[in-house]
Amino acid sequence: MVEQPETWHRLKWPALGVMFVSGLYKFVKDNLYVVAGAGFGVAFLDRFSLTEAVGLFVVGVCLFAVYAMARFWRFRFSFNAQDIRLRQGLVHQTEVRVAFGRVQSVEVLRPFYFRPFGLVVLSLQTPGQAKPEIVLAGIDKALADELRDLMGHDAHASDGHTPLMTIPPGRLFKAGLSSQLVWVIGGGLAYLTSQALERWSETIEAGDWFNGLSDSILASPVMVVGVVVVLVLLVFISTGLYTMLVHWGSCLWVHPDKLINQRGALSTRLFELHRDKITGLLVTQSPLGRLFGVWTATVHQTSSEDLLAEGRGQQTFRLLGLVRSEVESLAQPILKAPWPSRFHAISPRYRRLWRARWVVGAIGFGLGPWAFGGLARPFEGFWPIPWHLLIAVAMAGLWALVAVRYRRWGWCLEAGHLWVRSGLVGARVQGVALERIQQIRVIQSPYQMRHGLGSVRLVLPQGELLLPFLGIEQAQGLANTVAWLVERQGPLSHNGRMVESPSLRID
Amino acid sequence: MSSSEAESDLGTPFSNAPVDLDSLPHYEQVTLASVDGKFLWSQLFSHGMIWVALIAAADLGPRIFAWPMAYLWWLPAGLAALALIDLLIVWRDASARGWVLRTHDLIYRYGVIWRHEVIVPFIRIQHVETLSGPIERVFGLCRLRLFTSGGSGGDLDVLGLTAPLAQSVKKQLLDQIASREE
Repeated sequence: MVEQPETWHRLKWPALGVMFVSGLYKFVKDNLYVVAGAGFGVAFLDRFSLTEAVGLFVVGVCLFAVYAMARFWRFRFSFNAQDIRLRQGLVHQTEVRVAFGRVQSVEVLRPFYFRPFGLVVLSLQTPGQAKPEIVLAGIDKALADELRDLMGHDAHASDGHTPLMTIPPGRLFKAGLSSQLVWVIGGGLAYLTSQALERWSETIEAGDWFNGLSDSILASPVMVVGVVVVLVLLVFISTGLYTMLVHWGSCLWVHPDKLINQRGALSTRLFELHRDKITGLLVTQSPLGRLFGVWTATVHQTSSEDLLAEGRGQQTFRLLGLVRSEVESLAQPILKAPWPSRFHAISPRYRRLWRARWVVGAIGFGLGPWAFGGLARPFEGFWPIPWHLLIAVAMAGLWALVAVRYRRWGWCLEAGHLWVRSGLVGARVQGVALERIQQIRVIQSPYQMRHGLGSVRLVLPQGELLLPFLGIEQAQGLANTVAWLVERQGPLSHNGRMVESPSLRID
Repeated sequence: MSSSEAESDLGTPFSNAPVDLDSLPHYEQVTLASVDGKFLWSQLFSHGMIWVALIAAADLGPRIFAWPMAYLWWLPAGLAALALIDLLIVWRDASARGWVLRTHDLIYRYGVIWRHEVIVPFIRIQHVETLSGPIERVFGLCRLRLFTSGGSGGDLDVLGLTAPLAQSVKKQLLDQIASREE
């Protein structure tokens, strides 16, 4: 049944708790340095007694509760067959209207704390926005399904269908081990542990025991190594388990008009993307991911922020723990193009220039102190290895890294799609439909001008893509091809997909 | 079915015929129009003012305020040398800039040390605006700012147009956008 626009809905009462927690989270996040840093201790704990500090905390919680209730009271939404409207705000009231036809992705989150109430969080994202424009945190699942049906996202589209792929838990665990989350969790745990140990060791009875323990550990190098290994293993295992829980049962369904991904053990997250509004596919493999043989695929859509530079984790359509064959099989359903048959190399001048830079840098670093004899020579006195040997080893390492980096660069233009491969120890392959490109930039540095080279920087709806060190004819040919492909779509089919995708080769 | 034709996953005909690159329009063969001559003077004026202020501060500061440091003759001289280099770059920059409107896109070239050539298809332009600072207004100049999708990288400023020309290009681009949306 289609609702009239005058019928305003409110969120269900459990959403009040979410608003309270999200308000508190936002406050802590905005004032992280004050809350987590030394300022908190100086400003509060050292000036007030424990009772006063607890009292202040309770007052703060009450204020947040009042704020959350006011937000909850002012939050309303209505919808009809064409669009949805949202009104919110305490002092400044804002109203957002989103036409269902403009929605490019839908996310339905079913957190564990909403499950007993049968509630979900529905988020709608339109092109050109960095974050979802509509977030309804706490509506009935039936109402969310009704909204998805109105948007053309059949709420039961994946029911009974076999997913294209399901990622097993073991591979999700490996993906967790190889993700950057390891360093985030490791850093966070190290900070919290050091703070807690510092406070605890300040107490008299704990101090003796702690000092005794630390002395006995530090006395034995084996113990030190053992403790470090155990801590590192703990961080890795906890990251792997966390990723496994968040992406548990990750499945991909491919329908003629949309992609669906569902994942999560405690909180179930369902992502739906309109296939016609997909702007690119990014496939990455971290250095550890290379060791475990797992890849991550990210599907991009139009956004007002540079997704390629930022990366948005949870808020993007990501598939973790893929193997090589799965990655290659994703190109067709996502970009409607085959995985590139081969990658072309960029100009070897790239390698030569970087090596020349390293050589000049090393000579400057090595000979500088030597020439100015009065200056202290690096590493002398506190490092047993001669400093010039260290520089030679570093040079050899950098020389090899430049070679690896050069070999990783590759590009391919096939079936109307540009693929760019890059990376160093890890790998990154990005595929974009040429018809989606917004601007084409051909850039030449003085060195490139001297050697007839140029770089191409393509502005995409989701960020920028650089293809460095092509022959200038190749770069100009690519620019001409892209301009022709974009412009030939004509005014009437500017937002439709291209039926004909010519195969272009510029080598 | 030929090798260049196949049925796509949606059942729509899919053709994959090779395209002759030489038959495509070559942007690099287009002659670009230089920016207005007043752009050079406006840039020299704005950069010159900053350098004059800096050199004057370096030269007169220690004398007027009797700062307890010795008069460093090389400081204003060094700044003057830097100013000369900067003004030289400004001069080269003004002569390096060029732009042209084609039937379906705008080409803009800029940069002295790193040369940039940008092609913006009209079909991708979402919004156009003109803006001018006080010095630009004194010289009767205007900037044209084009917005496409793609975050901050999606903006392009075309500098060195006269105000009437910028308004006329803006109108043409807005007409293109309007006709696209009809």
